[in-house]
Amino acid sequence: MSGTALRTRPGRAARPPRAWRAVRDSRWGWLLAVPAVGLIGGFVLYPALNTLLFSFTDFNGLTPASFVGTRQYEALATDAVFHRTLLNSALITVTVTVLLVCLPLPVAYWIHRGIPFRRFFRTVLYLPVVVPIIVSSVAWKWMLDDNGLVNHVLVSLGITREPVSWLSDPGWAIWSVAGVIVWRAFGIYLLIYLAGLATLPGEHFEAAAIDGAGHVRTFANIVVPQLRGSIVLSSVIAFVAAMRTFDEIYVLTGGGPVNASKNTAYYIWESAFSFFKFGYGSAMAVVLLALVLGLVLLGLRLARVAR
Amino acid sequence: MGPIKRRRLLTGGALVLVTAVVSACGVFGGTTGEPASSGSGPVSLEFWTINLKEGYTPYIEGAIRRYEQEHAGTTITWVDIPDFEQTQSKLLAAISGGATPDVVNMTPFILPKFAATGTVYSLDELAPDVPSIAAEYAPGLWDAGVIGGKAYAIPFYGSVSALIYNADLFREAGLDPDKPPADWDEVFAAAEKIHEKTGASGFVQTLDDFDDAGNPSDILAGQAGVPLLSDDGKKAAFATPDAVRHLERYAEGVKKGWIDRTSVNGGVMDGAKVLAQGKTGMVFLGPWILRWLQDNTDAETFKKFKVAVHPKGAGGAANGFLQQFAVPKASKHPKEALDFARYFSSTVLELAKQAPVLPGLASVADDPYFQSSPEIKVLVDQDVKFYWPKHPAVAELFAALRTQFQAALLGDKTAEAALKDAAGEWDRILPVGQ
Amino acid sequence: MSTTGLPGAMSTTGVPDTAGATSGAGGGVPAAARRRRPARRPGRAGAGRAFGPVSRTVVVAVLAVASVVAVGPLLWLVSTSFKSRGDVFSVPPELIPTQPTLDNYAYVWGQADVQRYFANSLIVSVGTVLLNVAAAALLGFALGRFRFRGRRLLFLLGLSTMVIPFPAIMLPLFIATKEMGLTDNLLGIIIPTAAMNLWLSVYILREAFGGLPDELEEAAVIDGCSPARLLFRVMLPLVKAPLATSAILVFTLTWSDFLWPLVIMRDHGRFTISVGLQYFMSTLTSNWHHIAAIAVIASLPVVVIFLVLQRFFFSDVLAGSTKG
Repeated sequence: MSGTALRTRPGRAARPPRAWRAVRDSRWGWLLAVPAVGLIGGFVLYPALNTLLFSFTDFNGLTPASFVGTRQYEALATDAVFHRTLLNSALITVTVTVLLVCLPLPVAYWIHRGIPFRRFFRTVLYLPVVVPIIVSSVAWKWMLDDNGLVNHVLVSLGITREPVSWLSDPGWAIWSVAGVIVWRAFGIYLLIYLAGLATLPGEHFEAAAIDGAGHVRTFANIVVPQLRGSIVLSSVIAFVAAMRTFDEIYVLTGGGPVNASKNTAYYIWESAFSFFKFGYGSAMAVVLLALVLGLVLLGLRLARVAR
Repeated sequence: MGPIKRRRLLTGGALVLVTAVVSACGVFGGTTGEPASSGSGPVSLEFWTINLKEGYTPYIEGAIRRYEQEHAGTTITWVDIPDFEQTQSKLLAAISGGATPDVVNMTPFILPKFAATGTVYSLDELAPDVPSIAAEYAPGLWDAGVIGGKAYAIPFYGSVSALIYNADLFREAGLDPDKPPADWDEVFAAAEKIHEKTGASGFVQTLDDFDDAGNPSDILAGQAGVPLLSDDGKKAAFATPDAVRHLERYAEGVKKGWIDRTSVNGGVMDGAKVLAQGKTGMVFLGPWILRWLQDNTDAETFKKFKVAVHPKGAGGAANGFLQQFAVPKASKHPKEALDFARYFSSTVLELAKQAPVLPGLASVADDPYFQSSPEIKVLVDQDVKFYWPKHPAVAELFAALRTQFQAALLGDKTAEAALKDAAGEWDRILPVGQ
Repeated sequence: MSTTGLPGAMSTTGVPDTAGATSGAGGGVPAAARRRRPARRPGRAGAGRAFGPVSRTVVVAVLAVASVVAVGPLLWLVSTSFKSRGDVFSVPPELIPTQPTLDNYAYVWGQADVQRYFANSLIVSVGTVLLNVAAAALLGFALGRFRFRGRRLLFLLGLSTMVIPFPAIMLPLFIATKEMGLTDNLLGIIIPTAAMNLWLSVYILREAFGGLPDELEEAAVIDGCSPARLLFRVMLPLVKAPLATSAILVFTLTWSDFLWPLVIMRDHGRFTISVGLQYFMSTLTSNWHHIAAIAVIASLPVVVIFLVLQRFFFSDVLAGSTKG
């Protein structure tokens, strides 16, 4: 597990000289951490602690707050919408993370192995990343409408007979949101993999070719293990970004219909800035963070046990 | 990690927490002071509008310049917020951080909360004779800013829902494009016919909070004519047989396709887009949408679109929406701010000449300009009413209602169950949200 | 031969065999790199024969479909930006405008403030990237190469901040930022945005620095190299690709952000392009030919940044971030 946490590669030959070891084992490292710790402390942790504090109050954003103990948390326990948003957050996060980690991998392999037009594909697949989210989401909103382009294409190709209500069918809305996220962010992950592949010496592929390994075996036996670091990196970035999904929901569905696509981040925003319930929204954030941390720690522990 | 370090961490955490408490005292201490009576000397006012920068900058800046010339020593800083929804976020942040504007463009949708929390002035704190001010404005529009018997806002401009329809589709369906439906039975009948003959949907009626666009409160109170609240304002009163019947028609329409499915989860602009595409017969929006249609369709298409008065509902008046000015408590010059707000509301004719909006000032509405074209006339020809409850938790009430409406339109629930559940949620929210 | 070992990317001198691509900047290592240059591009040299005709066709077809999905909406935007009016909503859309025009660009760009939004966005995004990557590089170096107490806790604590939804801390963040007097200053966007996305870069760079071979460190230290020199002259040039990854990620996020810049900046003069373009796309004003034009304008810098930075990805620089 600490594969993702701290790891200092053991020197294979000589151990580092004593003087250097003294430096690197000292608290000298904290000095380097000062700017980052200052930033994160002042502009993330400090506000987050205020949020923790708000979660025990009835703060409405406008007038002085009073402490209400754990009342907000008790209300959360019985709020079906909140439970639904947790489920939706999990669905979006898992779907988006899995797709964004897996889909770009073979594409990166193909491009790296020199498929024709690779430069073209590389650039074109990255382009959705560059358009401001708010614009591309509105464009998608219109394309996904019942009368929109997507349905037009699907119906005229005979893939569906009736237009699909991508955004107003509760069964589809959340997947439409996830799809737009994947569409937009695909290029980032492709880039990460291509950067990773660029570091692999070509000898790997030559050796595989000499062994008579096909693409599937080369991919499974060389690319995936060698890119383990990139894959972990992609997973972390995708997970974090998917948990924070807000813009796409804001533009595409507003969380509807019937809360079918509302995630917790959106519900927090709605409670705080639309319903003036900052105390309540803060309590949601605390619960969400606790759940995520709990799951991550559990996962790490399981990974350790498994090892 | 050993126990010792863990303890150290906890101590550290507690320390930071205490610091957070101390510096958040702005939030907990309540720093709003007494209405600062303005003395002499230079006055600078910050003035927030919503969504007027693109297209109306010369008008706003010109009006501000004239005011500044007439009031030496007063400077106005104008800030325009691009989006209705984000105005509230920005305003909340500004108020919490003690950086409020002096005059702010609000809607009746958010005003009740600001009034209930005392974060905006009631006008009688700033002006000796509020009734004489009130007399200058259209009574219906003024009343939208009166909460609990006190006025909190100066009406700026408003809009009234109208019927915008595609005359070509009417013709194709064998309907007379010069005789648009006049009430909701006719609307439903026409919609069925349009769908049957042309394959397009009959109409789009979205459920978002955009106020002149037929939000759920309009569907209930305006169209079906049921009261939203009990007489004492403490209970939901809309779960009546009339409302159930009306909502059942909606559910049927969505199911059969004569109401466009975009209605379920789309916003007003999605409805407008469907109309622009020629895929629906009618939408119910303020006539300002015609400007948008003109800008986004070619001349040939635009000719199809006609405007008429909003179909008569049992509620008796068309749903309206309003932009108003309020003066936050944190203003350093609230009296000057009110004066400026009143001045600015008097410039609205200039705005109305660029976009079809309804002026707040009664005298302006009498201007012959408002008889000059059908899309302007429809504004002043109709009775207007604001159907939403003036309750601090109105946004939450609407969200609950919308969710239940969606469930009914999608067939997840019967209309009756949806309305009953919505009423249950209102009964829970109404006392808490006060 | 070095490539027998699994880590794979080390030459016999303990120096990344591909470091040559970092050319002049790579202080301590050019000799080794130069020596290995001829062997550097086998992956691509074998390109022609990597795929048989059948699999090549299939793959190209798959990628072509993916490309259509990827750029379809963007082509619609671009073509709309050249349309005079109307036709915006026709289904199927007309991709080639019948009477292409530059009026939309002229109009949008001519709106006095658009140029200022654009300049603000550039300042904000570049500033955020610099601050974010600089702070993250120092910490990444510390976390990757030092073994000070509390490092793991620090890392996990920082990482956990990444999953906090922004709306949850927006209000207290506003208060904090205002207390520091940054509401009328682009720093009010730059500093919090750099902080919000800090751990992305820290994560990437910690992996990158941690993945560099120990031999590199030892060689440098034996040569009497100070930690500062080790960081700036020896190691930093070797993590260019991860630095570029961080930079491009943070740039993209910052460029797109619309909620925070709107909330924290008091006057229009300090809005960014993502805020400013909403003037064109809000309810009353959403003329799609204008929205499309400003969207294209707002996207161009990111395309340029990508084209500039991509050489750091695709030249065969050792990407420490990718080492398992």
